[in-house]
Amino acid sequence: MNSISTKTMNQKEEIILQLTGIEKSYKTYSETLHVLRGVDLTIHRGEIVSIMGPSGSGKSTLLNIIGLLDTYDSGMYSIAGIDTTNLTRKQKQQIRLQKIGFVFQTFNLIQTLTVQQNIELPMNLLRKSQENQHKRSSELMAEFGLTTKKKKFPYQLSIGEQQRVSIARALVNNPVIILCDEPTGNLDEENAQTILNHLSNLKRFNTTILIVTHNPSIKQITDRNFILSHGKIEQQA
Amino acid sequence: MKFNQYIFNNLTQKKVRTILCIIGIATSLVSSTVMALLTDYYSSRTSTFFRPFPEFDEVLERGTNFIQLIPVGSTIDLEVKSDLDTYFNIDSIPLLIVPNNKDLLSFYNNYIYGVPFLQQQILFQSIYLQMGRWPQNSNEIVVGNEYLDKKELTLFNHTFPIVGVISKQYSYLDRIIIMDHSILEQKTGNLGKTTVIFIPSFLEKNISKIDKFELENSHIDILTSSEMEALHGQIGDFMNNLVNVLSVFTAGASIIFVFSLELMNIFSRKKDFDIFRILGAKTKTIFQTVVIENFILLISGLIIGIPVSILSFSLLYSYLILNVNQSTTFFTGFSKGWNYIFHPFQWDLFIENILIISIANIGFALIISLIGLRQYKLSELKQKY
Ligand SMILES: Nc1ncnc2c1ncn2[C@@H]1O[C@H](COP(=O)(O)OP(=O)(O)OP(=O)(O)O)[C@@H](O)[C@H]1O
Ligand SMILES: [Mg+2]
Repeated sequence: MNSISTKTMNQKEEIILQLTGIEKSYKTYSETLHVLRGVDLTIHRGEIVSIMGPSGSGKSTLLNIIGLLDTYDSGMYSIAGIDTTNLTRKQKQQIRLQKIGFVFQTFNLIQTLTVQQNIELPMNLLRKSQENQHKRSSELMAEFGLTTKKKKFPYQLSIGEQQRVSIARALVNNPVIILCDEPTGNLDEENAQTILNHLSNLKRFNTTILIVTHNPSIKQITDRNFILSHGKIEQQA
Repeated sequence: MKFNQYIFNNLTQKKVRTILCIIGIATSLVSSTVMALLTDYYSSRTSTFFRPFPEFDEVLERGTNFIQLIPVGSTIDLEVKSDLDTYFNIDSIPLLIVPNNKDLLSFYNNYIYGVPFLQQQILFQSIYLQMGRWPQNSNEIVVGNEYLDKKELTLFNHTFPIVGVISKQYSYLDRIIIMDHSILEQKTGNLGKTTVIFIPSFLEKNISKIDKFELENSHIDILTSSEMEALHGQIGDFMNNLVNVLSVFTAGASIIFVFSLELMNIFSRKKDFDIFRILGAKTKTIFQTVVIENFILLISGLIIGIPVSILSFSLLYSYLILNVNQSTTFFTGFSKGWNYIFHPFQWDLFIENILIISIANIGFALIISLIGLRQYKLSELKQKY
């Protein structure tokens, strides 16, 4: 993490995400639903950005496109300078593993793995050494106050702790961006605040974060806020 | 974290599932093995059970030392017999005398014994005298039953030492022939009068003579040993088919059992696989976990299943055989003792079963996880998470 934190101001202008004219529609047998009608979005390194919008406006759809879990119909999308138009399934899988961290509303932890093992899982998928895995996971568990829980299983944790584990897991491979879909959606106010604080703390490591949420208090921690509606995205003043 | 940790945790944390899978695999191995081996054994034995005289020549030969009693009240046409003797120009044709149904019952209620050749004539004479029906100079074949624990037997005022016992399976013969016999009687319209004569194989060279004789004497059916073979073959085929159908059903049931265990196992893990996929795991990695995990389950299942299969087959087998052949001496297909346990065990069949179960197990796991992983597009995951 230290390597990221020592980036210069110059590098902060580095573009992590660039979407231009992204369109996406879902075809059901009776109708075609145009969810995204030309989304333009640029995110720089170290920024924390939120996207809000009414339910069904396509926030998750957009996030899934950014996370390379979904395809788009037209437009241009590049992540960390890589154009995603012609990527194979395997290349996308490698980018997801190395460059993107996912945080979900429902945490999506592996129930049969301990906190430590859950956090180390993405590193394991990258075949990092045991030593590196332990070092990195200890770092993250300390950061998120999970050190005492390291041998616990997800069902033995509070929901706030589970979400912290999932954020630690998202960070473990030093991704260029963390994508959070409703990270506080399942949490009470207090836990939500803790999570927001943790996310905000990541600023000092220059971590780029994109958060989709309904929670207005996100604005405490974000640099820029967007509203997605009618298939278009607009930056809020 | 080592990736094997995930497999290990899965096996140890979901204990009930793991135990169920292991027991399931073991059970399917045991049931299919016991079924396959017992039925295979049975079908190989039916050839003995349904063979009228397993060693025809031996029986003939034995006829010089023993007589084998015929059931009282059987129909026999002495004229036919002597006709045949002259016709074929031999001293005496061994006869198989087939009882009527009601006679058969009384036959089963009486214990029939083998007696020495020297005593035959006296015995036959006395029976003949009493019943008025028996051949006077017979060394002929008669169906027998078993009872060895007596040393001698008094029949019709004569006491005969028991020197041998005809094994029980001859009684199957009676039934078979009776079935055939009554059809024969119906066909020939000679109800109650038809005689079935069993002729030794050396006479079968005169097949045209036999045919001619049968044509001239419609109430007589000469059963050649090849006809007997054919008869046995039909019944044997029927039994074998029945047995095959049964073992196919058992194998099918146990394979479906393993299949549903796999389904349960893998679908309970679908969410894990989805998370792996989102995080960026290779499909290969997921397959690997499925294969390794199933391999561990399979091996554990086999470790339990193999000894239990051997033991349960052996116990069932010796129990069944001990009941069937308690006092058989003529029929030496079985010998008692511990060699029961391994002697009849068909290792090749057993290994075949193990292989089928193993391949089914791993194959199903792969197919199901392939279906599970292929079925959805990644884009659909977002709806769930
Ligand atoms: N696979 C799909 N097939 C068809 N329609 C879909 C599919 N996925 C999403 N949609 C539709 O696209 C629209 C946008 O969905 P999306 O999940 O992106 O909304 P959202 O902004 O995330 O909503 P929420 O705030 O409730 O999470 C919705 O109307 C949804 O019904
Ligand atoms: Mg959503």
